[in-house]
Amino acid sequence: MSEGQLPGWNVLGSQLGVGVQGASLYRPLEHYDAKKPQWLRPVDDTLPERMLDLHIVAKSVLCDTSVRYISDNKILQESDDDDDDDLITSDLDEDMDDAQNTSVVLDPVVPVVPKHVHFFKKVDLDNDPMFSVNCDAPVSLQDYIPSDLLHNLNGPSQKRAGFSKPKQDAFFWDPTVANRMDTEYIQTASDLRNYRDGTEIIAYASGKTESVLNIAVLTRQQHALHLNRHNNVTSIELHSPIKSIKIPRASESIGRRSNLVGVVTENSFQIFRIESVHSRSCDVTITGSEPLYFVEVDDIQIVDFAFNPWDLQQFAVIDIRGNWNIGMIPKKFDNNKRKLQIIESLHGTIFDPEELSSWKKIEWFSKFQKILVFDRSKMIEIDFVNDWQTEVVQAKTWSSIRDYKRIDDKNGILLTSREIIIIGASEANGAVRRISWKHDLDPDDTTLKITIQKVNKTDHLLLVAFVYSMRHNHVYIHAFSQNKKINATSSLFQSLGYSTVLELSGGTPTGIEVLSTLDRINDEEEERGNDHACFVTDFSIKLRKSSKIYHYTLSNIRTPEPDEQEKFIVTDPTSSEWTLLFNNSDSRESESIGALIAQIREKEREHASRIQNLIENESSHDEDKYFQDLGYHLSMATNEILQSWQENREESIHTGSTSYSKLKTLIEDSNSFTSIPEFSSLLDQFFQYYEDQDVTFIDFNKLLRFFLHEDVPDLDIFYNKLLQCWVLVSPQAELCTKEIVKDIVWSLVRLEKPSLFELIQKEITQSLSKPYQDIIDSWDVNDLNEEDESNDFNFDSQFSTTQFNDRPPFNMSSQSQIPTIKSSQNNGLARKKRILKTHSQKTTPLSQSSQNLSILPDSMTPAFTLMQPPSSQISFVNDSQTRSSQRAKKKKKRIRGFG
Amino acid sequence: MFEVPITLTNKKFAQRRKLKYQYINHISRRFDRITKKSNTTDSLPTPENSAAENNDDDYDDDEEERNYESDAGESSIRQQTKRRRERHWKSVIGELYSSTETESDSQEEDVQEGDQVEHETRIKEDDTDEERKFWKKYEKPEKSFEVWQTVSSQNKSPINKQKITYHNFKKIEKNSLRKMEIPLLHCTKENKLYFQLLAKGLEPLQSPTSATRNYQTKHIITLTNLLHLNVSRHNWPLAYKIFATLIRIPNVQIKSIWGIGVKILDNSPNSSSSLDFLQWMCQVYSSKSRFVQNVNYRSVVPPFQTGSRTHTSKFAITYLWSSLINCQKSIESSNVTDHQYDMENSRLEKLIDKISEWILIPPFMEDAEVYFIYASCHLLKADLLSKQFVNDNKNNDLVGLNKDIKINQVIKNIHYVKVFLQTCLDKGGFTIPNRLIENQLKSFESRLYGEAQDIRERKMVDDYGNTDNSSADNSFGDVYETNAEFLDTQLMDLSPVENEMAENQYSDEDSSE
Repeated sequence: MSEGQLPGWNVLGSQLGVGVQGASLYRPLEHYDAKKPQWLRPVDDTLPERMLDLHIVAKSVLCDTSVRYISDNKILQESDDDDDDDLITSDLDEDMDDAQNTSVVLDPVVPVVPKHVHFFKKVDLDNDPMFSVNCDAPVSLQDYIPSDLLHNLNGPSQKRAGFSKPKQDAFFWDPTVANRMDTEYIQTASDLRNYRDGTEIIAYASGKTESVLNIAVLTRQQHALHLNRHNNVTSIELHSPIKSIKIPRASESIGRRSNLVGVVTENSFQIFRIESVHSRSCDVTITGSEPLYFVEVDDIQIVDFAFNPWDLQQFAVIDIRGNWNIGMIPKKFDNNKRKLQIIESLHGTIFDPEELSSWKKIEWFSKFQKILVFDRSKMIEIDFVNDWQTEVVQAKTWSSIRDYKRIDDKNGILLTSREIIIIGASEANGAVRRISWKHDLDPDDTTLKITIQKVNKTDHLLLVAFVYSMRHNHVYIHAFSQNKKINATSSLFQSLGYSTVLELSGGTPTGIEVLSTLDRINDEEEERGNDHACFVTDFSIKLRKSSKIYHYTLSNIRTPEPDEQEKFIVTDPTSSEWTLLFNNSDSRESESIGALIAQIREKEREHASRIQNLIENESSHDEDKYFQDLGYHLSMATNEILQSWQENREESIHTGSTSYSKLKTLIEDSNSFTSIPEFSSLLDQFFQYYEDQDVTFIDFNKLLRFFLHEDVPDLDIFYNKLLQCWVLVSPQAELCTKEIVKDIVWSLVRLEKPSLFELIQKEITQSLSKPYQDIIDSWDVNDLNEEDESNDFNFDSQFSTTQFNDRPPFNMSSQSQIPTIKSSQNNGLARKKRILKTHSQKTTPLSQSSQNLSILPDSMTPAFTLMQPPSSQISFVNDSQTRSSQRAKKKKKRIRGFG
Repeated sequence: MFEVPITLTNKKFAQRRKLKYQYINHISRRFDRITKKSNTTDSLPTPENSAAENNDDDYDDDEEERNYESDAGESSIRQQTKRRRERHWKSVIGELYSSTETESDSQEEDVQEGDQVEHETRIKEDDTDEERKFWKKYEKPEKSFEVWQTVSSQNKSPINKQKITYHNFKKIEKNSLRKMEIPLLHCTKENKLYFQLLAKGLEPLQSPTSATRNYQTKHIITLTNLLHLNVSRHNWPLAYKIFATLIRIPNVQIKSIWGIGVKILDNSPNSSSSLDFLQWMCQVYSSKSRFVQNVNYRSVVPPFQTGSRTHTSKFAITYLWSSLINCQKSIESSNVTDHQYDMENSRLEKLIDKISEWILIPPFMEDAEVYFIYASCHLLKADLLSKQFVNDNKNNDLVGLNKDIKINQVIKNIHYVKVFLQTCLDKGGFTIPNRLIENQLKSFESRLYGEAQDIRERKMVDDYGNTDNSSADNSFGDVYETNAEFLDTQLMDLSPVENEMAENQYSDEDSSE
């Protein structure tokens, strides 16, 4: 075993993820003198911690696929000044204009109606995609505009606007559409002869049906990549929608780059060869093969293809069912020899009836006769010369294969729904799993793809993997490093141990369609900066539903300028709905959102000051005194309101103003206390006292149940449970929780006097017809709640008395109290039970409370006695009242006993 | 955007899955038949052949199913479902209270497994759960998400040249689609569309997470995304808060986000908290039950999340590795003579003790990696001990009996390294840089010797007492030659004795230093 090998499982290699340690090796030997024994770990710790903190250095528009670039070089060369140019120049792309204003860009939405627009009565559009492809017939130059569009334009456009909203995001995507854009270095024959390194070119699809292949030369200015200065783009109409474009990378060992461009359209596969590139005008001369129609191969749509990196004349194709073929490209695309040859003997299939997806992939592996063939659940290594195949990966269970990219002659990188895996060639040239990184991205996201950028450093090779998805415009970046110092021959890959997420701003936030990188030839970065940790990487990107191709340059070099990252607002990245919502919203809506945010801020400030107050209060406040006051004020206010209800009873009922009240409205300064158990006991006493006077309170303990989804016997327990949840969230959790509990209590607790409603109830019941009355009666009966029954009974008796007296009982409280004798007795019985119950529950928590709490109930009594008079008026009528008040006293004593 | 630590299931997705697997199973059955047919037609037509072909009509499918139904009696189906439900509940309990799982529980599982084999045939007939049927066909790996194998002469097979033709595929597809018509009648419009597009080879763009309307789920998704983003931005305090909030939400599986937790705790001011967390994970979630291949583990994915009797959980391995690396780092930072040093050293001792206990119980017993960690512990120990000889820190302890003891300790540790490396190799499947470690061991030994040599020379010069030398000579005189190659072989001679010691109780030996 060579030195640069990590210990690990034979087949699986190192499996890593965030926070996961892999098998390591203790190496005391070589670093002995340095007094630093080292671990050889699967995570490369020689590299600095924050190496992957990439930020965007430059962003530029590379080109726009919706623009048809037309250049007239001849004219330009003869007359350099373009004043005599009377064609319309584009103002679409400032970058290109900056470069030089010589080119002519025809804007497709010129206001003038072009003369070849004809009006037809009716245009039949066949929806079946199989028949929409009419490969032989040349596409006419006529632009079709649906008649109803014209109609709508004339008609009230306002009305129509509502309907023409962007439809919901597509439900499905077509995996046969791989990438419609690729950038790569190529070397033409003359480049080879002149020892030129090569030219960067871009190939992309454009046009209304994506059927135009465009090839253009790129130029690099510092970090930014641009179209060549003449905007010279060669366009080829293929008469069929382009599904995928690929420019092959040749093996390093053959010492040259490819000059081919492969294109799969809806019905054929075609290869173009770039014969020459004019150095000044950037004119690209292209010859193309005859299209290889699917009918000639297997009659099944081809989905992917690959070029042999060692043999520029060999290619492989695979169709959506998994049949693969090897073919040959003629050396020259002459008139008579333009046909792509399929080699009869070299073919096979990986068809799997269980595989529904038409995603398939084919790629060359470590030797010229070895290919890897993928479907979503398998990776099969095939040696087509020695005629064998092996299923290396079977991903039927926990994960599925998402993408594969070739790194070099030995290694490739596999993206599954859960991991990024480097696959290397073993000594026997078989595919072996080297190291994997669990990326934690959504495993159900079928649109994940990966692109690799190699960054060459003096002592190590960095493989930066960009993982992107069509569902969001975030790029997940992870890097593997290959140390050149340890052993050049061994393929020891180490992970950087963490990954970053890059958020791309701008554009419609619908996802990334293609991300493509260029292999750098000359690394100017290498000389620049001795800091081996700094690196610059770049990629070209096309967002979904956006016609522009952008070029981004990333760097991890710390710059003094404000951090780009902070500018991006973290939106909910999964659901584009929200951002879409924001984008769609008109100014009014966004204003209201702004107002909302302002409100939130305001609240926040309020909250902060409140907390500040609370902290200040906590120490200085005399709690006992406060509670005493609070109880007093509360009871005073309650008495008042009861009195007022009694007086205004008639009109308040008839005007419909309900006579119940929030406790919160009764008193001011209700929040300046800290002890929840005290507060809870105060409330209990308060309730009990007033329940004796026929005032009903909302049983908020029951309501509290809805917050926690479990029974809460006590406010104190409720508070403690909340605190348990929140204590880690904020250092001020205790205060906040208290505030919230108080808020909840004050806003929940309401009081009412049921006897006030008896009159109106009677009226309503009487106005009802018999069947409805029955229903209402039976309703009451069905309710098995003890108290309700007693109330019910109470009402009935009330009716009888009122009917008897034939006089509305409104004058004095004493009169209205008369019937309540019975009810209070009933209530008393019911309550008795309840009180006993609550007491038995309460004993445990209260007994734990501190000593000084016990003073309170005693000191509170004056508050209640003050309020006694109105009730004492009637006390002579019912002895139950006195009994209950006695009970209240008893209870107070009991509480004191707890302390 | 990121994997959500809860299982999202609802009726809609259950139905989708059901449709998908029903179709897949049917289509593959159909395909098998066609390939079989084409194979049989190669031979000459015999009466049996033609009879079979006649049977192979389209009706034959229905017949088959009718057969299934008649075969599997009502009672057996009921039994089956009952047992399945039972097992399901057991697994639920097992997941939650795996720490309290007792031997008896796992034994029961064994019995069930036996049952399983017994009733295997019956389950096959039960075609109500198509997904299960599909999953049964494939091996469910525990260590990795996929089944990986390296190319070897055994698994090489000739290239499958029998291409699927357009015609054949259409035939299969047509039949299967017809079969699906009835189930499709009973599902929602959306799911019908879903299925039809899936069958056409398209792939869903939306996943359950993007379509969720449940507030709590949405909350969890947002938190998960924020968690990952903040971890990737190294915003540790915030990430810590999010993590703390997230794991308190019911149904959130801590098993699927423990790695992030470790990373966050690693970067928290309290340095050892990540180890504590890992230890807690090991205590609470280390299941010793058997991994049952027959269950559809929809919620728990074994590779990074759980352990079983045959598979050491990833967090246990991480725990061992990081405690070992931590030990080494803290020893390195502390001075040899320090009190701190002794403490760290005792930590290493504790780790060794712990592993020695662990390797007595199932998942670790058979795990080569645990043995490798064990060997690494001793390697580290040997290095530390032997370093005392080189450091020439005028350590006066290194004379006489003391020195002998120290040398013995080093030898013992070196021996353990070898023993455990050997066990690791015997368990198989684990690659170790053998040669490298052997070289290191040799260098440790030569340290002893080289230093002894030095000491001897120095002592000769300094005219110290001869006793020390003689003792060194007596025990190791012939054993240790300058040639490192010899050291190795000589050690092997010693091994039987050492082996006995190992078999008895080496931990006592260690502690008696």
